[in-house]
Amino acid sequence: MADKSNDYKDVLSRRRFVALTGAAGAAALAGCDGSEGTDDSTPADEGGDDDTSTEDDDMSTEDDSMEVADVRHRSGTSLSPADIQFNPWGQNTAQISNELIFDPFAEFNYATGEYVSAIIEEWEYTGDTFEMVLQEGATWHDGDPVTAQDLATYLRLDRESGSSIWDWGSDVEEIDDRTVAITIEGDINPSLIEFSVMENRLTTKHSRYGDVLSETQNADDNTPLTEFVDDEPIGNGIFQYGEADEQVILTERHADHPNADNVNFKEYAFQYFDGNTAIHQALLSGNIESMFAIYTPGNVVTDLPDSMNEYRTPRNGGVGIIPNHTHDHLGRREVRQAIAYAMDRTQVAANSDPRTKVAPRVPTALPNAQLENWLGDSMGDFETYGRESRETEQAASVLEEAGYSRNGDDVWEDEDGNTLSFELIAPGGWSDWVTAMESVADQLNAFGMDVEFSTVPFGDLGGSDGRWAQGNFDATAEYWTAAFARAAHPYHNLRHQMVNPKATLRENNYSYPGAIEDRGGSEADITVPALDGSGELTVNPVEDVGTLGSTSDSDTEAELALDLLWVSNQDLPMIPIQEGLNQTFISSNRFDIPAEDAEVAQVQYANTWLPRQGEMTYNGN
Amino acid sequence: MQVKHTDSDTDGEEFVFETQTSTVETSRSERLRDFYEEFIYKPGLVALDDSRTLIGGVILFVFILIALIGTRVYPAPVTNQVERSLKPFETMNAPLGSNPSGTDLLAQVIHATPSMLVLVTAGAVFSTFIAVFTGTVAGYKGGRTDRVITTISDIAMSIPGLPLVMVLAVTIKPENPAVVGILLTINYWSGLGRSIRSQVLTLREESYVEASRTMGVSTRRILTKDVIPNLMPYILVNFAFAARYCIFAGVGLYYLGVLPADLANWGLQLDSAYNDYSALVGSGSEYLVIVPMIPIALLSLSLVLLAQGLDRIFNPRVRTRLAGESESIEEDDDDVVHTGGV
Repeated sequence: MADKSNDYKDVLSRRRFVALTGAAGAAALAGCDGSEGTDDSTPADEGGDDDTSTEDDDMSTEDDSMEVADVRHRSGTSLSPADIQFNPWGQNTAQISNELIFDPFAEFNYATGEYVSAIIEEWEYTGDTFEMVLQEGATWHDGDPVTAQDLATYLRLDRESGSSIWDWGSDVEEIDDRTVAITIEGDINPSLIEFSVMENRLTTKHSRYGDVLSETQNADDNTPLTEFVDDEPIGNGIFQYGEADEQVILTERHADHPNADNVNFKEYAFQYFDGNTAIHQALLSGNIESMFAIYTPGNVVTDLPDSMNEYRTPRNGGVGIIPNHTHDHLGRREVRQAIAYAMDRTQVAANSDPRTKVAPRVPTALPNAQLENWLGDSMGDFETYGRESRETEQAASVLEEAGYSRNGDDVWEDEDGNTLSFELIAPGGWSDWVTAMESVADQLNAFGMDVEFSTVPFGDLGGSDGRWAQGNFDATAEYWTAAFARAAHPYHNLRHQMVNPKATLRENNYSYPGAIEDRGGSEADITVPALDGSGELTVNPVEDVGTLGSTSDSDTEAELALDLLWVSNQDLPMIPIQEGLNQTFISSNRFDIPAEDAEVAQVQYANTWLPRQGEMTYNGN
Repeated sequence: MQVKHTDSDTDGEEFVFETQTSTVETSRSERLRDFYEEFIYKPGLVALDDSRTLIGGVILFVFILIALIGTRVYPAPVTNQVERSLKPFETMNAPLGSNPSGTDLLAQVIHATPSMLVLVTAGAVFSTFIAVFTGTVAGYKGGRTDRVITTISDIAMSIPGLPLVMVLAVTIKPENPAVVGILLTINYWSGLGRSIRSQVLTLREESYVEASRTMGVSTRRILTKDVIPNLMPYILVNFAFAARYCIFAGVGLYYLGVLPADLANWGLQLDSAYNDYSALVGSGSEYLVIVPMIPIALLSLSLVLLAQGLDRIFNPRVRTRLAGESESIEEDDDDVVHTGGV
């Protein structure tokens, strides 16, 4: 091992290494955290990130068939390399570097709405099974071929972690060396299978994770899995893990990768930066050549060199308000509606960042791009709550109908004289969320609610003992969809809003009556006025969202989705505020890359996906 | 000891004078006039004579006016009250410009003033009071009292201030600016207390103090009548410095996000400019950082100037000369510079 690392040092240009760390030092001095968690947060059960390490990591042997330039691409990360590990179910899982080191099952393209094959070459739903075939020639970085056993191990571990695949899957079977089948038990909506399965990343070489699997299977809970630390990953991606110090993670081209011919440069490094501003400075100064998902306001984008391409991809969601349904006021539908009416979502989005934020056209459980597909002709009947204006008259009338009136100070109070007041919180440093919530609070205060806005460190909010999980809030900023690829289908979003946000994103005990008991709900029926204006519509979110996830009949799917989306629109279990775009930057100075609007770059995230596809090549400069 | 007694004629006279005033009937108006002469007229003269005090005082006065009246007259900051991202002086609706959420920067500055002043005053008063109390008592009493107090202040001095404030801020979550001010100076008093103690050690050996002691005057009275007045210049100058420390520490910690972000505050404005609006990275928005820096710099400047000026105000020679009561005007001006020694 010592020999290996010495060899490696010869490959490194000492001068460049020092230059990199120097830049990091300067960036760290520039100070300030304010990391913008929104960009990096990946929905919980997308999980697939990474891992495997090896005792005798073999540095790539050069492929003689093509010329590989001794060039290092410099990218950034906002997690300290000293703190990360590569077990995707563990703590402090690596960020972005794992996307190079481990191939995804497949990559979702937001422009086409389809998955592009990666380490899973083909996949098929047969009715009884979901079959996957591994890419031919896929190898681990230690030289072993990637086998069906490795894939099965991943899926079995994922089962131990409680992944949503196992809502409908019952077993995993290795058909042959390259084929694995998930046996399907019970009903599953076929259009959801891909979103559940293909979002993963093959990170588990059986030789590394086999023991963890058997330990976890024999244990009462999954702690053997979550506590396993993988800090020298054996990957299978287009680049392999080299070494990491406090500042830099270095990866080197994996010459035995089936797509290795697509990569004509030798190294890809991730430099650590503390906070968005440090990353912006690095992009401006050319210290890094790419950065994934970095919220960058217009004034900074304007200053970036012309050679810097900005790829904006949908996030299929963004920040909204999760009210605590046990709150005296926020638990009342009329108050939630009044909040939606009283704010101008377009103005909030423009305050947040006009370049990357848009207001939802119809507040329900779908991103704008999917509204027409699912609402169809009924879209006009859905309540928009005023997308570009503050509908204060309507807000006032719903409150008055609910028994509220304005007091002498022009502040709303209920029948018993209690002021309509609540505290609105947002994670500190998530700047686009904070600016959005500030605007919302101002607009609601102007309307006569008594809203106190404050920021709370993310560390106090997230996690199993955080304020979100404990339901210790009046109203909080949080995603209003399940976000990313799967949010294109209403199932995950409805489940997120009405049933169990933990299953889709993060734990949150918001106590919506329709939600499961673990989230503070009572699995109650929800009744709203019917969509066609006559009578009422009653749904049971737990049952009906479950049916939406399991039906294979497209008419039932469409009908049920419409009903549930209408309930979401009327009852507002969460209040949508804006949709965001992720910004990923790549410099074209030394690399040939696609145009900013190219279809191929509409992925999360372009700077790690494009090299694999031969769309980001060194141009000799 | 005897020798000292006989040496100090003037001190003896002062003492006699004091006992006389306590027996001679003075009318209320006379006392008011004396008070006016001693505490307003003479200091005022000195202040007017010295441009530093004058400028410092005027700036501070303006801040107080802003806090008292400005906040009532000028609209409170809210989002979208003016156009977004206005530059300073672009329109009179927002003379200092606006941020990308359309909040008037001047409104933010003005409405943060009261809490900043409260914070600064509370911190300075707290630290100075504790320092004076511990310093004089320890220095004068000596013995075990001294050892106990000195040990406590040693401990306070050796605890790193910033981590302590961070821990306390997280535990207490102070929302009242006065509490924040006290928190910031939670161990600032110890250094000042130490230097006061050493000054008291010298003063307690002065003959007039000895005289009081011999006559059985109570410790409290000796401290308040004989010791502290002699330290006033030093104390007040340090009061101003403590206030200045509070501004910087407060702004710094708000900027770092250590203190709860509920109060309107110039530090938060800086934080928001840097983190939310990338003002130091993207060109053309540096004004978002510069605007909140102006009041911080001005308030700090006024306190520094006042500290220097107070030094003169408490110099008896300068006071007497300017009040036209001195017979030795032609003596040295240099004394002015030397006195106080702070």
